[in-house]
Amino acid sequence: MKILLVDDDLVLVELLTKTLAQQNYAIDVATDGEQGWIYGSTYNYDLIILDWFLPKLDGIQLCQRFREHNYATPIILLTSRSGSQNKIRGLDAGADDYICKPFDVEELTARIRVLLRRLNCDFLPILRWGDLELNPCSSEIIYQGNSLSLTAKEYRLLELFLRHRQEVFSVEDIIDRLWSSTEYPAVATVRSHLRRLRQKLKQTGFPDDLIVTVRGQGYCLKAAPKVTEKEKSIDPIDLTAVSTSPPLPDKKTKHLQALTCIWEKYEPKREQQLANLAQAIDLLSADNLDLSDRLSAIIAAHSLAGNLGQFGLNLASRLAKEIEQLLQNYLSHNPKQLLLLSNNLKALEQELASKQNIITQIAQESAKNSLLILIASDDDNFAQDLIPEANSQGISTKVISTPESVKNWLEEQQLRGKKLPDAVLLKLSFAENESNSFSRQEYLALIPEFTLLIPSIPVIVIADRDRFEDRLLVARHGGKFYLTQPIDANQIITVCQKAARYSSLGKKVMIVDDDIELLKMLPTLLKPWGFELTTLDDPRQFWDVLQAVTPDLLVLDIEMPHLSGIELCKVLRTHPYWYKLPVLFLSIHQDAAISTEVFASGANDFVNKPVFPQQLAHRILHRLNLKR
Amino acid sequence: MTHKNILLIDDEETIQEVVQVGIEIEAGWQVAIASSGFKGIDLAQQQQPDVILLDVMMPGMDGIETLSQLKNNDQTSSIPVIFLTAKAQADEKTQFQSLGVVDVITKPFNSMTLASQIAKILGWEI
Repeated sequence: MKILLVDDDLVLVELLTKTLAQQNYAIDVATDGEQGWIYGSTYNYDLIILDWFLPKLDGIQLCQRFREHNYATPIILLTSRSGSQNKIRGLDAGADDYICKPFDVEELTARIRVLLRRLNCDFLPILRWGDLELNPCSSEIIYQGNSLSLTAKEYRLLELFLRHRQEVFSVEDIIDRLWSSTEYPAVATVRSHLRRLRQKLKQTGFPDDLIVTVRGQGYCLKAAPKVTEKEKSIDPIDLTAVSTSPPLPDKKTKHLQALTCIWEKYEPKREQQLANLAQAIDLLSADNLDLSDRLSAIIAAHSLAGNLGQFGLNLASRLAKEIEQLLQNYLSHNPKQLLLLSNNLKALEQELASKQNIITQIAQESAKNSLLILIASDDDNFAQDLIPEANSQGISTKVISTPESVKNWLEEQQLRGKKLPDAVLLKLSFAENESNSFSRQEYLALIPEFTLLIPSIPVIVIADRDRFEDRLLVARHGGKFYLTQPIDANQIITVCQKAARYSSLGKKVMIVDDDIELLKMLPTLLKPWGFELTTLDDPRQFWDVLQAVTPDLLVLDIEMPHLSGIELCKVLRTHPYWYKLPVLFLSIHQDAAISTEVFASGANDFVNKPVFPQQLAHRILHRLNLKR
Repeated sequence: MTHKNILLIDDEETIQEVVQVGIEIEAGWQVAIASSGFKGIDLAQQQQPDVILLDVMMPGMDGIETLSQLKNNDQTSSIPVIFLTAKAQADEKTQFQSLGVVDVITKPFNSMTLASQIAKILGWEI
């Protein structure tokens, strides 16, 4: 893996270069921000480490520049600036992690491993291929219980292939990924490293070649052997790490499990279809494929294209579709078309080696969809009553008993990019008692820690009495709901679910506006809220896009060529389904006549341009919540 | 959601199971399956489903022919039909609607949202 280190502290640079090289990373060093930009935008890096204070362009500006230019490479900010505000500034600039100097080098390398794992959706710390295990923490490789000794370059090669199971790497790609920009290895050198790695694996007892040559393209990892029952039982999701009580399967988990079963059930059929295609191509090259076999091959390719697309394997689906079309159009002996058919089939087979990734993807989806409730309470009985009720509804819980621990946990989750809670339950005692007072203040101070986040996390207070002044106090701190005991666990969990649904995350918003500049800007401006945005600049495509997107809310401009927003809104309101869709208008017009016309067409809200992202996001959220 | 009976006519086993799982888990509706146009027409007559999901490209009797027979049969003509197809260019969609289908759902579809997509098309409460 290749890392760019941008820091002007030469002593630190030397220490880190040495330490990271010992851990088998290839390092490039830049000593000012502009140089960092040139390196980062010229070469491919798996991770970038930035110092905050840099000559020419500081770390924050450099980080923002990478993100503005759509570089998704994980970035760690390394700085002597501590404190929450600085951390927030660094993370909001686009950094994925933030480490304060002085730091423990081992902690830095552990955080690098975490970010690299997340980058490739490898949730387990150890990379596996059948009985082969590569442990990035100890740089150790074990095959069937025996340690395997590799040189640094061989280790990096193996790690590269294990981390990118579906990718084909040319020699140039490998040089770009594994050698620093100051080294210029010859192609023959890389091939020689590859050959030695293959030989060592073979000598260790590997049944066949782990790294496959893809003719004309490069090298890739062979499809992994079947997953054993033991491996299947490993939960690839880190979600349980924050949950004291893993939930029973909810509807979505059940759905995803069922899809995984279907994928596995039809694996022999897919293999048969691939074998049929291979045979058909062989017969075709011998000019010996009869009409009936050709038809069977076309049907097999058609079926594969449809089924693979259904499981989200878009590239594999496209390859199968191309094979189908090539077989349909093949008229007489044509070496060029034969080669294309054969290459497409090989590429398709390699793509299908991602079977395990499919399961991981499906499981990831499952984790993404399940709710997590944080229970902040020092009352053990309260938490113990709630956990079984939450679990029975597919909700995970995390219980923390002191306000200080809640703050630390939240900070840790944010820094590590881990799942944040969907709702927070806070048990408060308002009874007149001096000893309660301090603790109450501490718990109340927790509320804005969650509600001021973007997107905000709702806090539900469970109080021991119902008085207006207590409600006012909670509301002033930003509490979303105030429930009074006695209240049963089921009611509390229902309110949590309701509160969590208020979140903006994943809400589909469609924006129709002919102002292309605004459409380009809005996704970036509204990104922190986690809306799924669809933008459209041509109102003539409105109906088709609407049906395809099925948004939760629609934002319309008033004046557009061909069709006005008011006309679109009127059309929308004639349909029984879209009758209730929240519609928010954007316009530079502020006169009463236009606003009357807008509301008469069926609009729910009206926002004046220029657009202020925070205001627009809150108006969108407000409308979405009113709909519920 | 209120209970509904769905009939899926599709020759592809994987799609049959994905649709069944998606609709039954997400909406609790019952899904009957026919793997050909002939069997589909037969089941539609017997079960009178609330909607028929019909694949367009099927061997033997294709979706267009199956639709035509369903619409010419007094027992099945009023059952709404939604096409499930990988082909859904705008012009084809209009052409399909002129044949009597209420809408077209494009493959690949999202099995998580398939039930709500059907509900939206038919104005069912979700």
